[in-house]
Amino acid sequence: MNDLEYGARTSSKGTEAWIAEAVRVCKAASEGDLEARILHIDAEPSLAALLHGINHMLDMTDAFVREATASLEFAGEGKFFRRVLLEGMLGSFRRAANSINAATAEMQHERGELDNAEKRRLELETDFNRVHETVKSFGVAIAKIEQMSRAINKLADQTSLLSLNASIEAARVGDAGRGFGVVATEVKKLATEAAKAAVEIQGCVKDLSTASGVTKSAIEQIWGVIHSQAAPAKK
Amino acid sequence: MAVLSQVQERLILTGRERTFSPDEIIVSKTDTKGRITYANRVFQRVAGYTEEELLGKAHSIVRHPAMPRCVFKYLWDTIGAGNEVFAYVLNRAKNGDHYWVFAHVTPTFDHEHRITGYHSNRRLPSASALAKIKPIYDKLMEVEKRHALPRDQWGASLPVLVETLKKAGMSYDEFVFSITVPAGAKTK
Repeated sequence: MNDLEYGARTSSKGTEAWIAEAVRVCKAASEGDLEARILHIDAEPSLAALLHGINHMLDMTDAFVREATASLEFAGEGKFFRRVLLEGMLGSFRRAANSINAATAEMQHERGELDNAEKRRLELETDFNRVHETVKSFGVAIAKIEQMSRAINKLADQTSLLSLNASIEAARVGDAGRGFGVVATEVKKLATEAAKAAVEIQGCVKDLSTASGVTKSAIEQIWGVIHSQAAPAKK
Repeated sequence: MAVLSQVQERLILTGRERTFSPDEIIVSKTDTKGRITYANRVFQRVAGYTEEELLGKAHSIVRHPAMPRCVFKYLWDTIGAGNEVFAYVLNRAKNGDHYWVFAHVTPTFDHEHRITGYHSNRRLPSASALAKIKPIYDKLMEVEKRHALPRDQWGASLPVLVETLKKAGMSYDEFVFSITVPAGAKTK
């Protein structure tokens, strides 16, 4: 104790005790406990340098492990901005840190690609939904046209009957009705034309209906494929 | 007399900046209450304290009066919840000099995932990062100056910090990283 007052350097522990302390810390570190450090180092200079060296080695290893763990944990959660800090990392530590950062960047890139693919798929799904709705509305329109063509047909039949009656009436009044008879004949011709057109329309409607049915089932099939591709991109 | 000199020591600011090598890391460990249990030699050199002076002391021994309190509030809340935190911190050396660090603080867990202490690695911050963080801290200090009690100070400035981040459209971590690693420039 007096030695201290005289300014002489005295170690609080003997060399053996310092080495035992160093062995304890190194053993803890080798078992994965990076918390242990050697404190209150006041050994003679060369031994102190060794003890400080052990602390420094542990500080660097500890820093690397904390950085690498944090970066990988974040990447696992899809947060890729958390890179390993390279400051203070030298040699193998820096190389490993660079490798982790490169892997994280690659993961980020791939996640981006997947996200884009999913975005495009969703757009496609929306577009196809619209087409699907449109094709479904075709059926309604076709049914309406068919209904209308049937009405035209009926109208033509009635007109035809009406013109026949008009011809008979015209014949009954003799010469005075001749002109009227000609008009009745023309009306009948028109009715026949209208009936023919109605039949043609019905033929077209049938073709259209078949085509629309085929389109509808094709679209439903494609839509099913697009829909089944959901999920893998997004958790 | 000794008490007076201690008080003066705490109050003096020299305006001189200290720095350290980009290859160096200032390391410290604390218990769960923030009392220093380990301080590496870089810490001792830059802060100007001996190991004996640091061990057992609250980590706020290097607190600089120009640091917004809400940053520490956020820091302690985050690590207390078991998460890592990054922060640009202005520290005060024993003689009143100051030094900027980029601090990374992580909790240390035992086998049952209970927090047994905290670990801080402090690196040399880049000039570009400091240029971005200083105006934000100035704004926070401006808000804190209007209050007398620490609790009121961070109570007022923390929402300002949150609002600033919201405007940037980033989480705190993302923001800190965005000014730290300029768009993957440091991956090589």
